[in-house]
Amino acid sequence: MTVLDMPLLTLDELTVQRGEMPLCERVELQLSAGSICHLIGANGTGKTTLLMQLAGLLPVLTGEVYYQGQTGLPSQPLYVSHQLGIHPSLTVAQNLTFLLNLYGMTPSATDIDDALSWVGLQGFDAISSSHLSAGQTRRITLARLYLLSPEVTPLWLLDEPFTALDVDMVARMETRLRDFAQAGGSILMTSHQTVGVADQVLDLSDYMV
Amino acid sequence: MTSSPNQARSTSAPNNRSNATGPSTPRSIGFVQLWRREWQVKQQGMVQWLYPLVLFLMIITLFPLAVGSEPVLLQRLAVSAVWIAALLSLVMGVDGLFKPALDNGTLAQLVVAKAPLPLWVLIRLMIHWLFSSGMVAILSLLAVPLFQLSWFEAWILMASIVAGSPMLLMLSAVASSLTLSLKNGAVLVPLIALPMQLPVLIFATGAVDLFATGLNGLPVLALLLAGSILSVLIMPWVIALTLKMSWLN
Repeated sequence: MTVLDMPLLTLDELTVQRGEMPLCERVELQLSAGSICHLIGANGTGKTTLLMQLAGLLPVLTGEVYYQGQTGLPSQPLYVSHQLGIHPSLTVAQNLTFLLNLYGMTPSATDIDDALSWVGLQGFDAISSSHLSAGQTRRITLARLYLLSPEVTPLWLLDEPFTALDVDMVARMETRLRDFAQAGGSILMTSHQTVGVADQVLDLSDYMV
Repeated sequence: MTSSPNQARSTSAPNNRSNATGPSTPRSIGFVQLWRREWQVKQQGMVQWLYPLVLFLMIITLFPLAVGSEPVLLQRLAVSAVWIAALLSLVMGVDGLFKPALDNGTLAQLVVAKAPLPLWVLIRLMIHWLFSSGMVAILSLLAVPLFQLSWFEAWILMASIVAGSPMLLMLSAVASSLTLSLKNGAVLVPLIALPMQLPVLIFATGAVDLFATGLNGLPVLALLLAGSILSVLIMPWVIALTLKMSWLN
């Protein structure tokens, strides 16, 4: 098997657990480059916990994670969750710039304008983030998806990315996810909505303790 | 101002948009970008950093009023009073060091993006020091009119604050990071930090007293400075580890 044939992310008998409490056991997954996996399961099965484990925010105590053929967690995945990383007193542009800086990107003013336009926040760049609604604040963090390519972040971990978005924005997001996957990126995402662009489904209910 | 997705200029994102310096290997945020972010945050939160300074001013202003206008007594108490005010204002101001970053998700995004957490901690503390102890050091010169301290002693007092306060801040920051995941952890910060900070207070006031009595207090000041440099070199790593553990637990 060459490096190109290897799955980008492999979970081998992974235990999804928060603290001392295991939620799922022996979870298996092979996520290839260019794939979108929809993580499903009832509330409390550990969808968010699994994403947090893969993001490095919670420990992996049992089981193995292989990333790009090596044992270990994904390096610098994009993680979109309710932990937005938006400082309320900074402007929209300042927040978005910081979130992109984290991945070694130095976006130009045009990049920021384009990304904000994509999420329907054109003209909001100099507005303080504290003046935005919850949905608009969430869009700032989603605007990153417009600028990040698989060369920068090959793996996206998206926790309920469609929450608080209108139908038009969801459609635009799905297009972007498909484009990202076609460019070689991989996505592991949770959503209570149907994800039309997903080519793989992992049901955590099958692994519940 | 209103806006809707329907008004968006473009509806499809570019594929492989790496013109914004997208690297082929993982790269992380640098010193300048972290400094810019923390500087912006500090500038916006003026009320938070003004509060400890106001507290300091209130203590050193009220103290002479309460003690009386006896010059000899005021001069004798000046150094201790200013240092206690500086210590209290510093300890009171550390509540917001890391908690907002934990609450708004900045810390999580830093961890996920494998950002250099010790560097972020160091920058955050450097900027906090500039706006707290740095200012307090300058304001300590008010001891001249308020306590009738000589200019020579006032300069030595300022130097002792500059030399000792980084260590005080680092100790407070450690306490703040240890209590981050606790409810009402801010209450514990002074209890944890103050016992460790007392030697700094004793050495610093002792150094000024030595100079005031014509003796050489330079070795004591040098010792304080050495302790501060050492803590600046070591503590950011300890704090970063503690912050990460607060996530993992």
